[in-house]
Amino acid sequence: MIGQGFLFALHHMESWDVVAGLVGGTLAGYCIGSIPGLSSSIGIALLIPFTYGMSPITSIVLLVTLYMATEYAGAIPAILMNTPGVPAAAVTALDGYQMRLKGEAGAALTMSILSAGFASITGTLLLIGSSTWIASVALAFGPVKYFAIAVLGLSMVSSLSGDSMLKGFIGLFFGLAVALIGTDPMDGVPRYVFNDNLLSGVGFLPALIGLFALSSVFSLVEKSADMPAPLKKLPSVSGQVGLMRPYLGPLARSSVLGFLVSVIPGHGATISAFISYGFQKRISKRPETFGHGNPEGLIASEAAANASVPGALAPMLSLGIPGSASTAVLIGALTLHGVQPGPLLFTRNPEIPYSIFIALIVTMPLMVALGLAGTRLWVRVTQVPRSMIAGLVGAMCLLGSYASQNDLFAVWTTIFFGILGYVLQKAKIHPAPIVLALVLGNITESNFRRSLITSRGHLSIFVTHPFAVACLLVALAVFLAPFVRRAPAAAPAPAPSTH
Amino acid sequence: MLAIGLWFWFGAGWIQSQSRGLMSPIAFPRAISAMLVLCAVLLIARSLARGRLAKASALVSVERPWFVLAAMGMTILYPLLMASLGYYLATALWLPPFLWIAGYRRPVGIALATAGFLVFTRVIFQHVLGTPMP
Repeated sequence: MIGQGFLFALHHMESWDVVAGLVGGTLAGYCIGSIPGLSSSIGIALLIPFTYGMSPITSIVLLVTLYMATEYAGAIPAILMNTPGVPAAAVTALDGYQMRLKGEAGAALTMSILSAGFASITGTLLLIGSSTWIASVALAFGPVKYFAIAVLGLSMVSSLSGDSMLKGFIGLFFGLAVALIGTDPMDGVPRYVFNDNLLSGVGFLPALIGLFALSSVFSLVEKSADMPAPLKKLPSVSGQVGLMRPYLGPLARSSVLGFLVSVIPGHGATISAFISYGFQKRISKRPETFGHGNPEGLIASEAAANASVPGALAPMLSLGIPGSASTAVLIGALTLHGVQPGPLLFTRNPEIPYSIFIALIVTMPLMVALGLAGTRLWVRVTQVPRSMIAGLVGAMCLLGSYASQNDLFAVWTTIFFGILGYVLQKAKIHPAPIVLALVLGNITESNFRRSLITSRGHLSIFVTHPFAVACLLVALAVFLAPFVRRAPAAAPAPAPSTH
Repeated sequence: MLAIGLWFWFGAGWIQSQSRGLMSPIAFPRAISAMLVLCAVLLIARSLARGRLAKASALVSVERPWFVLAAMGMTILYPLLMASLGYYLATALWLPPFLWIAGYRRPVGIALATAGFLVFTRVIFQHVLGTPMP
């Protein structure tokens, strides 16, 4: 079945548009990842409007390759300037920047790109095996199990909330409330529709562009006086694979660990990188050198962060649940093209998941080559003033939002969510739980009500299916885990993953 | 968030539906808005208990606040300009001051960025993607 899927996808991918999407996504990902302040979720949200005229395959190939390249490119400013391009690269900076200070910037960049390449391939192979299997099991699911899975997905708010669970819940319930606006999915009655443009609900893409990208523009305006630190000397990078020979163990371990952690919805690249770094430090023979330029630390974080991209795609493709904020945005992109991620995706639109697998594999050599050959160019990108980025991204947000619906109402939606997102960031309410709720709100409600219709209103239906009970119990445990962990007032939690 | 939660709670009363109980289109909005109100009240209560509410302004700091407000104002102005002047003229008038507010002060760079952005969007959106501009 897998072989047939690949052949089917290859048949659909035989076009220059797809190749252009692959190369364009990688280049755009490098540019976005190299710029501190722009994450993969922002990049994907900004590029979705460009995909309207494209086929679903070309657009998903473009966006997935962008996602992957952004995750790697975030390491470049992290190593060279101690400024992570994406949140997960903060872990890479711990040892990568120290290596640069020792005059080993070239080696650090070479190791980071080779680690990223190996981890992405490993993660993709694990993704192919796991997602097809999960999807085949999930095909037999009815509304009760779907509701339980959706609740499990919503429970991941605990890992997206940052330092306050309560604020995470506020974001989640606000997102669920916004998802209610529009025509009711079961009875067809309008709910909270105070403008005809809201009959089909709040535009997902305009809201996303506002929450992630436009709110970041206001943050960039705030910080635009901070100029990037100038680099006196550009590093030389080589494709010396031999550099990795002493570190094959940490590389393999971190790749698998990064994938496994990120398969759990909500556990994106940042959490994977933190866990992998911590694990490697614990088992290392030289733990005291971590944070002082130990290549093991650099490899552990880079491998885990890059393996987390295919890891986060696994629940998205097989269950329709976002594994990270970036995959939540990807779900939105697929939905706009009339493709619904979930178990039926492998039977209704097999060309989509298999195109993603092929894109992840084919992009890897291109990404490594661009990383090794184009380092000097990406270094220049890190030097673009934030003020210029703020202006151009701001204009792009508004234009992209307009293009999503060819309607100025979409622009107003983006502005509303952009200002709201900025205010919420100031209140330390992260936008990721809101996006999670926007994606899962409709699925949760409609499956809850469908389940009740089949049981004639009896709530006991949710405890009659062992799988649903297990999901709901795990969801409850995940909801409660942060409260249990925080009770002894332990170490600070890592920042929420936004990609 | 408290106000938004209350708006959703009371707004649920305006939903016209024949069905009743948990299966009705009112039940879910009521539950969600109740949870939002509860969380907002808990957050306020927690802040009060810690004596932080009065110091909220000290906890939230905004660098360059007037520039951020100006950027928001400019953003609100953009769709109004676009509706009356069309995309190209509106963007040509809007982008240079927005770049200035964002902190970029080199006139040549501003002119080049504005011209480059307009050419880029014309090529990509109008010629490649076929998106009609207002």
